[in-house]
Amino acid sequence: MKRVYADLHLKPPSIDDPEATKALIREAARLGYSLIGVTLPKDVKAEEVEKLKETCKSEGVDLAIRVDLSPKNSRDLLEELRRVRRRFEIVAVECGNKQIARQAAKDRRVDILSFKSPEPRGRFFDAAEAELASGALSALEIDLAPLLVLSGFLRVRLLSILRREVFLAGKFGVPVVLSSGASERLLLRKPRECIALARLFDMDFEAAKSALSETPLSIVERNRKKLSPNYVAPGVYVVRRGGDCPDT
Amino acid sequence: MRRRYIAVKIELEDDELSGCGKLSKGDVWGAVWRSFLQLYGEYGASQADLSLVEYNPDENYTVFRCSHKALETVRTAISAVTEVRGRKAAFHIIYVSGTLKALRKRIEK
Repeated sequence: MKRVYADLHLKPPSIDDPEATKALIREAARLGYSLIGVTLPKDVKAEEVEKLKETCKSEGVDLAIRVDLSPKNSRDLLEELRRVRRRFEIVAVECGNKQIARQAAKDRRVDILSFKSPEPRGRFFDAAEAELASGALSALEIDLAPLLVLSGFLRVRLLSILRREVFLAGKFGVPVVLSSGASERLLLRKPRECIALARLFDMDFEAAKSALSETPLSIVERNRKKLSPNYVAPGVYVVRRGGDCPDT
Repeated sequence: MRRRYIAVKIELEDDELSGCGKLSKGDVWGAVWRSFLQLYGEYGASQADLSLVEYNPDENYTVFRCSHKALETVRTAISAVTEVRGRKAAFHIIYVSGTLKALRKRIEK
């Protein structure tokens, strides 16, 4: 059976520019992705999401809507999570400081931990963070766009940080998601090329394949189940409704 | 020595090669070579035995040859190219083959 690949982090420059968004989606579909996650603003309207879903359907890809939270502090994060969790299929948190990183790692409503800074001081994925994340099922996201854009010393430093983060994630059983983080079509790469790029930070072939396929797919599947009207509580689902239910 | 032939499709910013002039073989080779040297250095490059076999400016594709042991490093270097002659670009690997004949057959298909 053909493997299904996912790119959970497409960042269209603006939702008001449908052509740029369309170009990005079309390119992702052409390169072999079956599921894409598109970052949308927190206050996105339902009609805009529907339009996007139509575009994805016409290109033959499945769309998962995603929100990137950049809270100022952990209280802010909790408030934002309460507001957006039921509206988006993927919730990612950009961890700007240690306090937010710790709170995000232990909160089960967070799907993806994202560290944007290429500086070692701006990234907080250490052993304690990894331990918290492994307990809460949050995944560590690695965007490949900065690897392509940076060069020289900055790229060397980023590679060394990523190598350490991937090692820690493996040690503590934190799932890793490889994403493009692309805001334009020329920053997208085929799944096989992403796997090759992941070798730069010592991610082996099977782990990279799983970070582009099984891990992102399981995140979306898990959340879709939770967002479905049949979900009651963890482990409890409505399996049948109506008059044909046996009396208890 | 066993070799691998890699067919690569070049995507450019404006998709209009003619608008800013076609890329030359030297431009394409320079972009990949620079990327390889940046990522793996001269020692790595000496092991890859990398060369550009053919370049088709009309179809916008090119074929590289490398040692089969260096295939993954060459694949990484090709994927890491983001610019050719000052223009934003992406290089996508379409096929990899053990012989040039088989690669050409697959491209023709």
